[in-house]
Amino acid sequence: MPTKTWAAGEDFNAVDINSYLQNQMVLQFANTTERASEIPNPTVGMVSFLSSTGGFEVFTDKTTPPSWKPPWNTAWGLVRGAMVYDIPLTVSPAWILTQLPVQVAGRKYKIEYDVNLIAANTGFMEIKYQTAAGYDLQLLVTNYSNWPKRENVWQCFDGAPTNVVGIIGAAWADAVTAVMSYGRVRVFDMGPI
Amino acid sequence: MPTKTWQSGEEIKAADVNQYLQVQAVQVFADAAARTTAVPTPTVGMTSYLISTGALEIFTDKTSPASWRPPWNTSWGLMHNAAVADITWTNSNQFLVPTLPCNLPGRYYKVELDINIAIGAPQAQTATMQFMNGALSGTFGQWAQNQGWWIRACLGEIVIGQTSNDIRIVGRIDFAATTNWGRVRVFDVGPV
Repeated sequence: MPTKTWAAGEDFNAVDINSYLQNQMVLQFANTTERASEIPNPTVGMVSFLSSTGGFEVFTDKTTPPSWKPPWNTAWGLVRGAMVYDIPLTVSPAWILTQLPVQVAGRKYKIEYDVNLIAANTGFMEIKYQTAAGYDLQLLVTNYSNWPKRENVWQCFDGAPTNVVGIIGAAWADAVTAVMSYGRVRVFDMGPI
Repeated sequence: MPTKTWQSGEEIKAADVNQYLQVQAVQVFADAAARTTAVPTPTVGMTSYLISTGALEIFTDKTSPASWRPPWNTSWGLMHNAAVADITWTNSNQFLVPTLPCNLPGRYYKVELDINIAIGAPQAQTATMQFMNGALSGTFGQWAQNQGWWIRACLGEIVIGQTSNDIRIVGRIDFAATTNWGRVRVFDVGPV
């Protein structure tokens, strides 16, 4: 479905409009229901605009199965932004966050976790990303007793349906316990791999 | 104005070209002025490409009034990037940055502030930074350090765009501190 150069006097056939012109336009629909009704069998590369969401989407085979997505070569932005519950960190590693949404294959994600940490005693605190394969990035910090410090623990992941990504924390040695507060987690789609 | 399947031998009418084809094509213009001249009253969903900026834009009613914007369902990137003026901190909240641009409804913004803080006399102290939107709100960061030592403090937050937003960041210290090499960035990170 690429381009065609019409010659002067050439017939302009229905198939030309249907194949060369209309299928390569930005097709406008009220919503996904109308789009599915009008184009029950889209082909890869079709482009649509949905007035309900303002969404500009392209039918792509970069997903399995093919689906309507924002332009593949752009960043899709914030996927999740949330506060994180305060929990005490102890010598037993505890889940701070689980099941972070980084599952679309072929996409790059950035996870940002920020938190204030206060150790009950002088010692060190640990925060790490946990995947099925093991831990992926580890933050180790030491600090005096009751001295707050805001930590920024950021990491990028390649999207995969099998991804199981979480964040765990612990407080070791003399820290014994540490208090978390004002935790924030953000997950961004940063673009294609 | 969705799709039409033309039948073999069917007449192509002006209305078909106007409604089904031209309006749904990606219209190419030299710049925004040329677009305004050619399409003085655009309709929602029209798509254009501007040669001057390389921008693909769609006329959307997600803004008020309706306007030409990048695809609404993508991240539009860096909106504001500035150095932060050095100041001397006290034990009262002081504005670190002026009002930040987070004002388009329906958009998520990420604000980042990174800054060096030099702890002054007379002792170890705790520095605090907090977001404000009219009143103190949102993320609150604290860093303790010895007198004469430095901290690089990074504070980030997601803000939902509102016309009335007055997003600022304030800082304070137990006694005294100075700052330098501060940087503030605002990103549009997609639709709400």
